Amino acid sequence: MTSQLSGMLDHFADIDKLDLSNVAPLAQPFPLKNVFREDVVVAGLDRDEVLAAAPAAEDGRFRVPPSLGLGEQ
Amino acid sequence: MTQPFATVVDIAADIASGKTSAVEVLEQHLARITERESDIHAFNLVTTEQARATAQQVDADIKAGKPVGPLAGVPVALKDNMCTRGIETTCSSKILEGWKPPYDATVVTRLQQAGAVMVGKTNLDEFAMGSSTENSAFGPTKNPLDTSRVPGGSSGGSAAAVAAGFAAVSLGSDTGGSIRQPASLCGLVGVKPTYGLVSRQGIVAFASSLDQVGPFTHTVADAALMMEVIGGHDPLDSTSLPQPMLSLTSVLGQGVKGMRIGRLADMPDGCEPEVLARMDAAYVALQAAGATIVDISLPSLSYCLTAYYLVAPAEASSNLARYDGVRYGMRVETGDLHSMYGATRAAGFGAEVKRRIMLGTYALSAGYFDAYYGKALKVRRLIANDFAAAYEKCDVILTPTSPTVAFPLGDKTSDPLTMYLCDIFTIPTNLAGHAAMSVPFGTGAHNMPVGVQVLAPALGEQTMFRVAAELERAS
Repeated sequence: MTSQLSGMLDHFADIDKLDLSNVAPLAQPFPLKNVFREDVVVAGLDRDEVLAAAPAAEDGRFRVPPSLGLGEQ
Repeated sequence: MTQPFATVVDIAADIASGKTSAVEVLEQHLARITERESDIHAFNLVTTEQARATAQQVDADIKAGKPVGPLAGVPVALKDNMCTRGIETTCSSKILEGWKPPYDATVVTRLQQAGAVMVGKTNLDEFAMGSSTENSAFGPTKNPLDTSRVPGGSSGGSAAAVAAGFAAVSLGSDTGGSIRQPASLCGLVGVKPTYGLVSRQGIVAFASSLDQVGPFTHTVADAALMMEVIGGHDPLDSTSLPQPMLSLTSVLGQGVKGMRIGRLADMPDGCEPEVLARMDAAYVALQAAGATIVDISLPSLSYCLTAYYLVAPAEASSNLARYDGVRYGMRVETGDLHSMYGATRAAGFGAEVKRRIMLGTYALSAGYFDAYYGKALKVRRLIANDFAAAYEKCDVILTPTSPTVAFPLGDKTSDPLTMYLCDIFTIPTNLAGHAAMSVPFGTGAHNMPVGVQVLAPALGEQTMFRVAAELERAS
């Protein structure tokens, strides 16, 4: 995979020859800004249905392995 | 070309008029699935029981004289990156295997409201990353017209399902050609709508500024009808355009008289001669119908591949960070959180997905951002400028959809760059956010179908469909 990735990066160097100094970047096609919905309460997703899809859940929350303190035990 | 299977328009009319029933139509499609699916592998899941229940409901509603939608009883297949509530949605990835979404994608809801009958979830390149459907974690899909060849990708299962008569219509998603290229390789009509015209809510995100949903159909009229059902503003998608849906079924008969058709003056290398011959025939046909042919150039075309394969992996590397083994999908238990993230992703993602996450992360990293992602966004502006200049001279542009007809399985899997070159004609549209569609226009090498791509500016769908309809009449 390393040689495939460097092969791609070699190909991608083709844009180095373009003069892009006065070109503005285009991150998305249309300049929609600050799209908000009406500030009214609507039903969210069903919590039990969401948690049922998780690898582990407990007491209405996602259960994850410990992230801190393992080295001090 | 003669249509081997009934069209959406005919099926819907015959069911509504009582000439046939939704159950009868469904059983015909299920029988074809039973007969050929083991050879083709279009589906990750066939939802036989739900489909039968929906079809029975449609028939009961019609019998009771209740009003039904424009797709009442029409069997549809959905690419397996579209969320279906309570029904497995995998993106053909081990990391999402078994996941049942808690909601429906907006396009799925709109199909249901129109009375469509979902027959299954179709195979794709894992997370829609590929051009042949060979990157699926669940095995490749074969082209129904020649099972030694690929159906294209990434929506190869959706294309194969319609080409094999497993469904009358299907939905795919198109980030760099993933609807148009498989449509071309399977002899179907495939539409990539203007960015924002069809809701992306509930479509598993690959590259959010490029992704769009669209239909695979046998005819242009079917595609127009499908677009009218799934298109239009959705408040649940913040990138959804605010205007009402364009009428497309009403413009199909308007012809192309007086229209200016753009032809690429400098065609990139690598096209099969038979493909170029079909292009010439397409120009002749449109000219005969009253259009004029105008030579145009897109000087940045050859740089699109680089821009796309930096922008799309960059966005994907961000979007796919959500598969962390916490909220859905696979988890590899290791004992602590950080190694769990790594172990889950190492086991859950396939090679092409890993390749693109690495490429995208690299392109966004502090030391290389300006050299790669930043530059790619500027090239993206150049191609948008090229299109703007071209559309001052013409109304639509015609190119091949794919440089070649469907290639044999395994032909391009060893070198990713060779596979990426399949997308040379389709990715500029996604970078610009414009509309494009592929229309079958005869056959090329090995008697396999050739697709002509009609490109139009943003919200140019009405013009695009008029040209597509004319090409269909001439083919």
